[in-house]
Amino acid sequence: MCEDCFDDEETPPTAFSLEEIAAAARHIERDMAGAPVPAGAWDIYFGRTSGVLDLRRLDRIARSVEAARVLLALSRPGGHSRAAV
Amino acid sequence: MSGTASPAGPLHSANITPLARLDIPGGGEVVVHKGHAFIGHMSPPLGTSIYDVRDPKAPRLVASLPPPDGYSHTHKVKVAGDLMITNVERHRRHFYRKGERIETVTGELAARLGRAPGAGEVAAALGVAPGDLDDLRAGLARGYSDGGFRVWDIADPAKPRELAYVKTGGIGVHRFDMDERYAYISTEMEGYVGNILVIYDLADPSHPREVSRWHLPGQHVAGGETLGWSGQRHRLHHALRVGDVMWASCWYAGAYAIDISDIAHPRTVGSFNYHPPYPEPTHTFFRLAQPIAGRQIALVIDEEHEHIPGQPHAFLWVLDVADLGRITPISTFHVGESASPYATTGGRFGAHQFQERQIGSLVFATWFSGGLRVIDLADPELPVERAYFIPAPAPGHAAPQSNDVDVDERGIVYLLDRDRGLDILRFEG
Repeated sequence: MCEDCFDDEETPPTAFSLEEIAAAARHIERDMAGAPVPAGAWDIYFGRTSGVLDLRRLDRIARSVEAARVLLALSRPGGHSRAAV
Repeated sequence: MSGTASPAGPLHSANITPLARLDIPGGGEVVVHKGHAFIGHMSPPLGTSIYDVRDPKAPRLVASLPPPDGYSHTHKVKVAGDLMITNVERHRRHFYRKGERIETVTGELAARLGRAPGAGEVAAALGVAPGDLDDLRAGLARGYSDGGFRVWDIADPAKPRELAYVKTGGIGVHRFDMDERYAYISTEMEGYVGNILVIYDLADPSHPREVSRWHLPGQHVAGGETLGWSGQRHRLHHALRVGDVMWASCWYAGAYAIDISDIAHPRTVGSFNYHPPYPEPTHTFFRLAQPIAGRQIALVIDEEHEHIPGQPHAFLWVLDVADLGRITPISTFHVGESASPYATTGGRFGAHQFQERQIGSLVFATWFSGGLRVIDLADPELPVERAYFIPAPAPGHAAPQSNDVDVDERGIVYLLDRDRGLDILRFEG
């Protein structure tokens, strides 16, 4: 981390791999009301490919990812949501 | 320091032709004005370098200005007319801030452990190496009171003449904006937590005069306000003037529009915050002076942080700002890791900064190890990449860290790496 730009407490901890988060988030998103985002939008969000996201898709994915982090934290033995700290 | 000018080595680029590369220590900001490139270096003993770039294939160093002392860096620079301003900020400021927490952390550890903590335990709690503790203590004892900005006469860019050194407060000044009449300074000040906006009148540039301040609600603790966040998470990064509005990027507080039609009384007229859920802090907020596709457009670019799996890399926001009371996102543009061979080799990959002037519908943006990305907003709902240039990593570095960019009136692009090197390029789009 660049010590010239960031305070040390600014990075939230994480305990999950991209694959875990992506799988859980996409599962959550399928159950959300409204049209699902296309697969390509997920690739853009997770930084696999370049592209454009409008706010609806961006927000839908971001909310799914947030929920996925909580779900994954709760599913671990003795787990709690570090992402929610 | 002279640097060498030679075209870059093996390239990853499209629609960009390299003209020269200066092998110089890295910098925080580059500004081009009247045939000269003004570069703020990241670390002392280098401060500001001025290059004659009238022949962009043969840039020539004409002046070098050191920081005022070895504990400050002067990594930002702006120019207007015959005036130049350079910042003065505590070098390694976040590192040294940890020194202020040694006593508290030691006490907390002692209470938890039931014994005096060892140096390794204190260092780990602070997030530093044990060998850093002495440096932190020395920094704490030394303190810092040199932060501020310096005003220079650059009528002859080869012979800058210092007109004023204004001390501000705290760790000093970060980025800023200026015109020939006012300086719009992002700085810490006594009584506030984190950077705020302080506007100075440059009518007499030898004696800049403070005319007003603006801060986020909660920052003015000496005035009885209460922080609603930890540390300096909410603070001004910097504010850019377009018309009578300051476009202020405020880190985890998002973006603010500040009316300064009455320069003595800045007034918030709009804001847009997307934290959370979007993780990267707001680095720059800037309204394009001319509309695109009939729409009033502003740009926000976030600064990439340490990447966390599952988070998007820092990206570019395109906003509709026709109604400042209802700032609305139009689109967001993202660069994928597949777009750079250095995305995962080390250093940061993600957005950082764009040129702080409008060039039609084009945005020239730095993306750290993604290099330079040229994005066309002709259709603001569907930005398209028109060109890119990814410098080769400097010797000893795993990846380029493209930090700042400017474009001159000839369309020549100046791409500054925070670790090492300035690439001078021609956009062929």
